[in-house]
Amino acid sequence: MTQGGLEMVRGSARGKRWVGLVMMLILLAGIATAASAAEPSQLRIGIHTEEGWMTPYSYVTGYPGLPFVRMIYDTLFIMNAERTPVPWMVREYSTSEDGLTWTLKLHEGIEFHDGTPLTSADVAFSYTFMTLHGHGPWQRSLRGIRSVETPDPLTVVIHLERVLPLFKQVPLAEVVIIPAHIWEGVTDPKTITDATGSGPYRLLEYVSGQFYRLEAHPNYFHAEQVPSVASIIVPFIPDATTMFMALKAGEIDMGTRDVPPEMVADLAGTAGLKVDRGPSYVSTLLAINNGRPPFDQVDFRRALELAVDVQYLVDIIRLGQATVGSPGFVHPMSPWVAAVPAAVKQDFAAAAGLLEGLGFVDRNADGLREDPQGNSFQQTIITSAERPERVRAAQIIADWFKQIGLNTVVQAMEHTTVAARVWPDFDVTKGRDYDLAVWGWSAGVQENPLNLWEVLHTKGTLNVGAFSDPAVDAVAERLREVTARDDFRPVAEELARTTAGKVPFITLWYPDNSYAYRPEAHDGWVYVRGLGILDKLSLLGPVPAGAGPLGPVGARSLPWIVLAVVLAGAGIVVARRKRRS
Amino acid sequence: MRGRIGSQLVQYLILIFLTLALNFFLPRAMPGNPLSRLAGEDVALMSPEARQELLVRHGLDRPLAVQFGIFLRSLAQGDLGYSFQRNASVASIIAERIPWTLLLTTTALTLQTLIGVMLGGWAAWRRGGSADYGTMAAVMLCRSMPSFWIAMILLAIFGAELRWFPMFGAFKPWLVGGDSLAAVVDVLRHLALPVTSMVVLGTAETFMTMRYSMLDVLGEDYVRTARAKGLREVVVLYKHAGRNALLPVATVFMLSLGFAVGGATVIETVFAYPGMGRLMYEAVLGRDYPLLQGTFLVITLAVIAANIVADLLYPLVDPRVRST
Amino acid sequence: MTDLVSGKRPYALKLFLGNPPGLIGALLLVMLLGIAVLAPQISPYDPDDRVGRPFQEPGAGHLLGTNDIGQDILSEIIWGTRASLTIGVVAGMLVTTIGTMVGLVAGCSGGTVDNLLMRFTDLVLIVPFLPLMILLAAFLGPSFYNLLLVIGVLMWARPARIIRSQVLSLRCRTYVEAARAAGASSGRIMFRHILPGVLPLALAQFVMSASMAILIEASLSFLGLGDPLQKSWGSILFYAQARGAFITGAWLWWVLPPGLLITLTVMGFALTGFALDRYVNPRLNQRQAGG
Repeated sequence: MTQGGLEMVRGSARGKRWVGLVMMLILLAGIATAASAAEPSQLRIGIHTEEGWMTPYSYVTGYPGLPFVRMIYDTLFIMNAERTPVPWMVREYSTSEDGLTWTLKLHEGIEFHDGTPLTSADVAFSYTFMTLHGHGPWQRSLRGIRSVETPDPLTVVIHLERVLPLFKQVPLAEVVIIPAHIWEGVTDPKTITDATGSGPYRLLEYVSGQFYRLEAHPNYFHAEQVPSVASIIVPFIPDATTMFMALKAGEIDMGTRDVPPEMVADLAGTAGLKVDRGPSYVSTLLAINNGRPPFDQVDFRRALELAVDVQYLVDIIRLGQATVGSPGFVHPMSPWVAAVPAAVKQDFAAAAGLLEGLGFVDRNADGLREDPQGNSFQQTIITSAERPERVRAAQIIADWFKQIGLNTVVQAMEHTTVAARVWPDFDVTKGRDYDLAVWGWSAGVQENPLNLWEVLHTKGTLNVGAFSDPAVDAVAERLREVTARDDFRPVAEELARTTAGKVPFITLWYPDNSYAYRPEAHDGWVYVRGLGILDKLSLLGPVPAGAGPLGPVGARSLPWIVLAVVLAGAGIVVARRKRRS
Repeated sequence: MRGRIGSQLVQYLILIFLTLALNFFLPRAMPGNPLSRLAGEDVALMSPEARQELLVRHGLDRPLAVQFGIFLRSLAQGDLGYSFQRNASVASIIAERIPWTLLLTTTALTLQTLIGVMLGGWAAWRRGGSADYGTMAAVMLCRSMPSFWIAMILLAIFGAELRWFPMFGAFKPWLVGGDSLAAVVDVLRHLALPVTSMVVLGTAETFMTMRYSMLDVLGEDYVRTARAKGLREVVVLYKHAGRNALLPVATVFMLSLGFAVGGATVIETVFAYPGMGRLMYEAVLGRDYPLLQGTFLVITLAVIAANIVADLLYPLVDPRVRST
Repeated sequence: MTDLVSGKRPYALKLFLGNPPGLIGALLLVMLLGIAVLAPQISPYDPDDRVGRPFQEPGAGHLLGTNDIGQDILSEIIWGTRASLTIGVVAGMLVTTIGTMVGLVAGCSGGTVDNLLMRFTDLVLIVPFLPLMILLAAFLGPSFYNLLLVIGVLMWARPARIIRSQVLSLRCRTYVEAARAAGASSGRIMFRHILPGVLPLALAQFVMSASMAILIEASLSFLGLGDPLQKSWGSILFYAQARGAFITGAWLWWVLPPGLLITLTVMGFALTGFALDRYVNPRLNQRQAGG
């Protein structure tokens, strides 16, 4: 037996050596090929969500989807790095004295990616098409337009129903121009898989689940601001850890994910990587269901606010990389305010006093207050299980609430479920089912002053807490009567002041966003105020760089070929074993 | 025989119908609404009429039973529907994912079967000895690791630290550019880490099956005879005993092949591999009903097909089963 | 377990002593059980207290550093033993109970009941496991007990099949028919006479299911479908990887230890399971003895 065993061991060792040899050869060949093949100068941007065909009607998320749509499609105006609208496709423009008629002259020589000239007809078509099929805020922004005329191929005349103080921002810098010859007659725009636009980059290839490939528009119209990168590859990397590891290892040149605070120092210290950090208009809040007692009483909400130390949350959860939330909701960096109300200092005694005044007293000395009727009281904070920062915030806040004697439970659930409880069907008129929730608004909500109305007014579509206060409503109404961009400021400031102290929700923090990239591959990144570096502006510049683009890969048959190779290899191994034995 | 196959087919059809129904109603009973995926950003700012129109366009305004009927009818016509989330037909999305999924899972399955058979046969041969227990302990240790944990650690060491292998995706779109040999090698290099993770985790099943069935066979009379005749141990092990011991392994292989179409959600997520597992997971999160139904159906069909093939092949390979 | 051990103590003991993997498995489980029971005594801090700066590296005071909100990782891991073992034991019991009941009833009843139950078992076996798991976990919400429920509901099919075939070999049907003829209730026969006969097998199945359940909890936690409020090894790993442990190098003390403990626990259960399996499966045992 021993001898036979040895024999067999020798036999199998021989077999293993053979298999090992083949594997080693393949690996060595692979490594060698990888090392010798000169990678053409292309910018690789890892993206964390898949965005479908990146047309204005089929992209999925506002970030990172929309910035890519804006690279492929152009707008009449453009938001500059300070987020002020400036003319882009428009060479010059004039406004009538009553502010109701806009005359826009397009640049000459603007072409779509397929070479078709872009004319005023395409502009008119895009606006009409958006009115018919559009979605969300863009469509809403077009409601004030009475008609669009095209007296000649380079002139667009837009007549308005009423004066629109933000007209240059929405729709002129928002609504993208699509080619009429492709979209004409389309009834279901989501099915269009042709992303031909006139923007600086052209969508060359989209392989579902794997990557996008963009290349520079060779005949871009602008004299100075032309595509600064020949070709952009956008691979999907859903997992955050994998994306940042790939950045560190140099497999990608930029990642669309915001670098979490705990990684900033490490990535910034990695050779060849740079991290740009800036404040963001995103907001994280503790939403309060004002419609459910006792949260309908402003003193109860004030007691909650007094129990929360927003600075501590910023220090612990964001490692200091955030702006402390203002009780007036508006971001201190917002272009619509000069100053915002300061955060409330944590004061357990004052909070307890307010609760005593409301009749919330601990009658049975168990350390927890009962409600005025003497029944035991419990409130629940719901939060998204997959967002650790929010879960942590909920846990810490619940501890504070317990310290003022309020029995508080945290429930973590899937994000979609939280959304369904806080904002059923994304329609505030359908009610809500929660006490407290860690919630957040995207940057866009702070960007347009009219959104403050939506968040704070009794009838606002973003008023997920059913907050209702006559004084706040009155100031919010005045926002809607503003006729000039510069006149928003005093009203927005007054709205923030009025809101503070009413506690519709507790604004916790506005995170700083950080983005990492390899300056060696591309160093033209612009940190757009309140948003970040993934923006068309970052990829426009004076000189185009690097080698020419490659053709499409045609990856359809590749997996089959490799599978055949693998199976053939396995077959050979088995066959050889058989023959030998 | 034919009657038995017939009744089995009926049973499978009932199974398919039940899984379809389960998969249709369960996601729809989940809290949450696909509207945000349907409408893109800022669904809140849509007018109620626009929302309603969107629901009507996707047939989501009808009663559930009617929706189920429509779903079954279009399914009968071979139409899997249109993904809410990705704005593409479900069939085309799945068709793009299946080759990569199969490449990943079949490669792993083939390797783990080869390794499992060799090690399992050897361990059985040396049963009770330190070699047997040592191999068994090692294989069990591998099987006991959480999948994402081993995947992440391989990624951290061989991807990020040593940089031997690429860390994400199925191939490098910026490297390939048409040269076919380089492309094949590049795809193989991208397979290295995910396949290694799967083999580390998956070898145990084949190993255990092979070891047990080998122990079984080694006790049979003809093996004893062969050994008594003084045939070389290797010959006895792999020619006489091995061939019969392989039957259960083949069954395990066939059944695993069925599940292979479903991919490996966790591994695919870690290595950003374009497989079915991740696709389905993203569909759940996004409440993308059509895509969810499509992936689930394809996976179920594959599992059932593998079962049928295993059922049909088994009596052909193993004469002992034929009589029953 | 006592039934099994007290009935044939010398033999069972010999089984573990003469079987190194089984011995290792049993020792591992005893050790982990000890950690779980002694958690309050041996953990340096209360795992819920924020006792230091966040993201501290290992050092005096915090042997494995601190987590993202300054809790002591070593204490978290020690207390997490309780949750992870609970998952294994409770989910394993749930799975085994359902599986044994279904197998017992199917095997003893025969006929239509058997047929229907077995077809249902087929359904559960054939439905893709992870997809359904994800779907159910998302549907019920990530609470610790829901997780147990999901695992129980989805994993009973395999034990049910195995128990059923054992019941068939115990000639349950004959007993039941005889009992019925004698006027006794068939339930009584089932529980009094047949159940003890399948218990050892059920025990082996329990140990296997327990090891699977622990792994599943960890995977669901990774996908964000676990319960982040429950301190288990899975949730520790979730926070570690969600908060950059792999990027910052913290994985050495934040990811490796809980992962290794999961591995050891699962292995402990599995090795014990194989030892038990051989004990309850006389045919294999005989081979072993005779070979």
